[in-house]
Amino acid sequence: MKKLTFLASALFLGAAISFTSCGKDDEDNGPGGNGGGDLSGEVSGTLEAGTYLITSDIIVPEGQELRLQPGVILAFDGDGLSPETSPEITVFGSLISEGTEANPVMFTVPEDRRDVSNAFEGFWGGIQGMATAEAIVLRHTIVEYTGAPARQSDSYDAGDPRYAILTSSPSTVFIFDHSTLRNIADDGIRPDGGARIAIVHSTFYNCGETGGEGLNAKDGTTGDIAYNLFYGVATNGSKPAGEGDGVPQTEINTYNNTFINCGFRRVQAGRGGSINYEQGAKGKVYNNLIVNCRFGLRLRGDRLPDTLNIPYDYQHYYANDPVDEDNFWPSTDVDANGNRLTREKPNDIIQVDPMFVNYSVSTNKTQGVPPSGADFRLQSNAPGANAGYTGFSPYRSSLSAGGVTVTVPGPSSFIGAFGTN
Amino acid sequence: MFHHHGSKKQFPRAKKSWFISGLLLLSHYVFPAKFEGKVVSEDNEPLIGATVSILDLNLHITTNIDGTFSLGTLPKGTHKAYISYIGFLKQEVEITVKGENDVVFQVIKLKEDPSLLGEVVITTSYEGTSEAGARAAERNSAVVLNAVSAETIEASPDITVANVIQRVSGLTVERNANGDGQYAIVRGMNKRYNYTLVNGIKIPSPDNENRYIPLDIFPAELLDQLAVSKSLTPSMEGDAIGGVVDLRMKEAPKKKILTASMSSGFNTLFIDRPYDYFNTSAVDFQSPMQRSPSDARVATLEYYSTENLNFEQRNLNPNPFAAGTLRPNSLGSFTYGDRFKDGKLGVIVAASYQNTFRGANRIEFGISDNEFGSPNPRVSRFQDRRYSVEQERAGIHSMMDYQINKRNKIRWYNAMVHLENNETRVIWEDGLRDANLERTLENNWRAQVNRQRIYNSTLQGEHVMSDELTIDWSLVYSLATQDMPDNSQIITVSNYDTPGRELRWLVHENIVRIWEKNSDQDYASYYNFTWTPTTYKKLDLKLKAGGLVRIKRRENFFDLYSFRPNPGSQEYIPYETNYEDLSWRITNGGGTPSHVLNYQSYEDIIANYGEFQFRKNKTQFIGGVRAEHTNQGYITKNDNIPGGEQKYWSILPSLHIKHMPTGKTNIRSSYFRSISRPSFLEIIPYRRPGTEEIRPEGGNPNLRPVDAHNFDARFEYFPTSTDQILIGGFYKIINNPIEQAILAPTDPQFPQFLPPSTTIIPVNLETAINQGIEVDYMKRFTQGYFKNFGIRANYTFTDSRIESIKRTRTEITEDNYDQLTPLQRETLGIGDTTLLNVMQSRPLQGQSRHIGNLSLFYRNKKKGFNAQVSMVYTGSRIAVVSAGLDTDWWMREMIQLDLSIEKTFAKNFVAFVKIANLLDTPYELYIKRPHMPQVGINELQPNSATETLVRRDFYHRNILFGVRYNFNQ
Repeated sequence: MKKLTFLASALFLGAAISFTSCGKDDEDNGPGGNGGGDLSGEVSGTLEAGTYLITSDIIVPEGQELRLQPGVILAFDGDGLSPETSPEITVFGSLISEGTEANPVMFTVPEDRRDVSNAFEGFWGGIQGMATAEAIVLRHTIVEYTGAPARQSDSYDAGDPRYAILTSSPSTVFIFDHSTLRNIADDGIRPDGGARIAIVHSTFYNCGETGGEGLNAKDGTTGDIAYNLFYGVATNGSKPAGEGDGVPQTEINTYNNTFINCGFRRVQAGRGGSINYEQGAKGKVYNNLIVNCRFGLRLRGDRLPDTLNIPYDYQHYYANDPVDEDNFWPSTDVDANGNRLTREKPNDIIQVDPMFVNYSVSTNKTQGVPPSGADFRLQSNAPGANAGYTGFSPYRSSLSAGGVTVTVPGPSSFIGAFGTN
Repeated sequence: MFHHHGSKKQFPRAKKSWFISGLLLLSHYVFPAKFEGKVVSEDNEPLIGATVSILDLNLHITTNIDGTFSLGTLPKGTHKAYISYIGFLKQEVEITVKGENDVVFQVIKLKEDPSLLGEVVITTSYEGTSEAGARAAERNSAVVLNAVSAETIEASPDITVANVIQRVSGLTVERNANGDGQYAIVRGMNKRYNYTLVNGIKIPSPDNENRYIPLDIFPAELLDQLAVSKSLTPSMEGDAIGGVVDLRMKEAPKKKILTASMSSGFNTLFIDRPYDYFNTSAVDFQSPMQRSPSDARVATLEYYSTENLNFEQRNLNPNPFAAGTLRPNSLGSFTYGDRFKDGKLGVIVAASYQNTFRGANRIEFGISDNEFGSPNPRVSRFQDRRYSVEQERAGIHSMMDYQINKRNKIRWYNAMVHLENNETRVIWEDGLRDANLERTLENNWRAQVNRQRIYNSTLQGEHVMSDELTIDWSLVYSLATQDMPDNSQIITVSNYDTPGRELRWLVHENIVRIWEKNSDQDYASYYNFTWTPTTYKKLDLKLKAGGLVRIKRRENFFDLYSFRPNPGSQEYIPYETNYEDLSWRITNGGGTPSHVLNYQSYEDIIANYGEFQFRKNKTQFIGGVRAEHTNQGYITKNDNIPGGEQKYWSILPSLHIKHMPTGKTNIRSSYFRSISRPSFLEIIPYRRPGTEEIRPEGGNPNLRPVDAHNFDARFEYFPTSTDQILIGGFYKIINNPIEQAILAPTDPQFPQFLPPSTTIIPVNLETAINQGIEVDYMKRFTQGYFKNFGIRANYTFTDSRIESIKRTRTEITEDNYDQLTPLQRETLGIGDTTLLNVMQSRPLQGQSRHIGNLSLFYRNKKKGFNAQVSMVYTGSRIAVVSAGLDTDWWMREMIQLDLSIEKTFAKNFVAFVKIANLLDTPYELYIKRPHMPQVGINELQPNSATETLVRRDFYHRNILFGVRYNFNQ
């Protein structure tokens, strides 16, 4: 059953856009073509390829869905100084962004400001999922130049930088598949009130000016982070945390990811560098390749993670600066029973060149953007090529929302995200 | 003066007609019979504070500054009056009242007690001010009351009202950062359960969220008497469950007085270490948005002053004129009072100024509970803190009273108190998360100006309409403000990113500068009608009715700006790097207009009461009922937080029975019902996100006021005008006590909440009980071996119980499975372990089981020498309620010792020395559980095996010496 909805508050120019119903099973999009124009207020239905200029907040209402077709560019025109002048997309319903490798969807700023020199200006307010949000699905989608200050809300004190992507309920489905998060001012993905997540085959780089994680999960987040590249993130690539009281305990498996150059824009010693489990979080940690990062896997914070339920092994560590070798594993950490946590896991690979196909491990560790042409796959004779652990399953084998199903691949026999060429 | 700005409510128009009817009734006026006179020595010197009693009528009074007294109402017949005064022989006189209008006047000459001959010097004080006046207030009060006189305060080591309050039985203080008392805890009931009056008028608070008044804002020298009422009559406002602190300011004297004092001193803290400071004159009191042209964003650094963030240090130097020397403390006060127009017009002006340098050395640990794998708390960081505070405290008050004629009197009272704390806080922090070589360290300098002011103007009238009817009224305007401009920090962190891995201090990734301001305006009118029907004279019947209308308007302003260092790595060398040499990116140039602390509150109270008072044989009954209507509401500037209000009636009955078997003894018993309203912020449905150290917190619009049934009994014995023995007990049933609870989303216990994650929210808990025993003892030895010595002692035992919600990691069983939320059930089953609510019985926060005071003093009036040692014992109590089971933060018991010595010289001058905190008693918080095992912690935790230290403060000694000048006509 289809019904045309007219959204009075939305103003579309050059309107080659089909208004469709908000049905979750709605696969029926208008013909591809000349989308574009201005967007404001409540928005739902399907947007076709084209550039849309957004000067004030756009809202996906509760129970409704906004679908973005390949080639959609949402250009948020903000100055990053105040909530009023830095628009966001607020999701009370579902946001389904389906780009393709050739035609990704972009959440960005107007073209004249898309320059890496503006990486940390935080021009616009990001994708803000509220407690009623059913799903935020981003496939082949790029999110960049976010981090503008927030209004007071459940998740922000007034003036805090907004996260690039926020979710607020343990029931929200968040899929980040073959997508890119880059050039953002502070935290990237923040399941603040929890979420069911699948973060796979994605790339994070140049995230956080002087602090901020690629993923900073809080209470009630469950799922998998696998086959991703974290490059040049200010603090940690991935930080599962959560109080574990009242909502499902945060449980995230982190496996087969590649972390490079993470942790060096946070000036304070002793925190943040690749993977950090904190505040009651648990999950399996295997097969991660950690190169030139300030720290290796850490199991601590101001509140401890669930240290007794974080099985870990089979990571591959390498540092081109001997200074960082000591920090693959900090020596003073103890688990909840007072036993010292050791880095001497039998199957870890320590300080052996990982042998990337095309990336020099002597690249300056503070570089935030991967060099063009870099290939992070492993050479066939690389030490990690066949050193992975496959004896476990993902938290979920697949995750679906808005008619999209993403398969979460299980662990591989190689270490890192990309395998061999 | 009273204004009607912006308020819809009008004061009763009836007032004018009362004046007119009052005038008409004047012709019928009849004087009640009285015994009046003057008590003098054999040299005709007036004796002040002498006691005149008619025992069979249980009437007592102390003489005024000129020795006069007036005692009434007397029935027809012959009565025996006793006149006594310390150092004099007691005298008995017989008086005969012939009729209703009769005034018996006598001058009574007391003979000096030969055993004390030549030892008594007449002190220059007047009623209320004197020790005897305070005892009279306690004895004659309708309620359970404790009073401290100006005479006692002057001789004590105390310089603020908050110092004084801890000397009263049943009272302890909550301290501020530099160790001074700040809030009163009355009988274990913390600050939210008490209110503060100035001359019987409730004053607003400069606090940005709460109602309670910081008592350290009041200089002690302005007081005539500090009175704490622990029970309430219908004519008193009903929102105290612990008690009411009434600051009775100096009243216009009978004759000219002039006193002045000057003193100076220092805190020994700054002998050991320098005093940190910043340039307070460079602080902008308006926020950047307030100063910027309309609608402009203030992302440029020119809007932010830099000179106030260049921190400096001073030393306490033996040579006070040496460069860089810390200025000594300076304190001064002045009082002038006189009476004009044949005594009809009385005036007093009193002022006090104190500029002191205080501070604290503190160690503090970061603590978390409910960690996985252990029920014990975990220590996550260690801080060494250094506070340096310049405290400027000033107060001025004036009172004028005018006797228009015999039947009409008006009084106009104005007071302004001011407290400015310029605090420099330096923190050295060890993150206790050391990598092999890189330690996570942090330094923090904070410059904080906090200026609080309370202003009150009260116009009062008293009109005798007939011999049966009296009317009194008050019109009140009060204003309380707080300003915290440019609350800023410099934070530096350890960094080793150099080739040689040497430690560098770099500017922290994110710092904030905050401008906060709030104000609270009260417009109030009080009115009381007192009817004393002559037909029931034998019963001494008095009927009172009256009420109050108060309109309160509050305004809160909060503007925060975040800064990121730009570039990210900038070195900072303390006391060398200039703030203007650092460069920043301002990440929210628009400020924070949507912050929850930008809110307006209002509260309209309408109260009415009826009260009766009569006496049957030797027993007095006072009782009645009070009805208070509350309309408390709020408006925020954040569209996501809707405005709201709470309206309710509180019906508060009370009955006070005072049995007076002899003139020196009272046996009291009383019941009253009272309430305590939620604070201004906590009923707003806001939520603030947490940080790594602080859990998210929120408000609760469903919060109900606390109400309590209070039972009191007290035996009182007053052997002389200054001695006393009081033994009392109390029992309180407290319904809906407000406590902080940690609530998970859809907590089955509180289904009305839906926080997105576990949040601290104020809730009404199950009924609590609070009971205790108080004993007060005062004795001055007038002869014998201990002549001139005196003792003041009190002890309070308090025992309270409240069932509070705690969270603890629990194995899920069939029995507790229904406690799981639907979300938890998705991932948890029988046999798993998760956090569940448990109820834990514990004492009320702030309640010490044992508290006591002991003062020993020596007063030799002949030699003009006084000395006093005062000890306060505060038993251990819960200072902070934690979320986890058995992990509350307890304050360790403490004994504080203070000393003061004074010596009169050149007739009108007194030299004095006061030393506070002689023992340099530490203030300690600890958890009654060992901490989780952690490397490198044990040397910082002295009793690691049994407890976890949370905080320890040292405040050192305050030494003050000065001169006081008294002139009395």
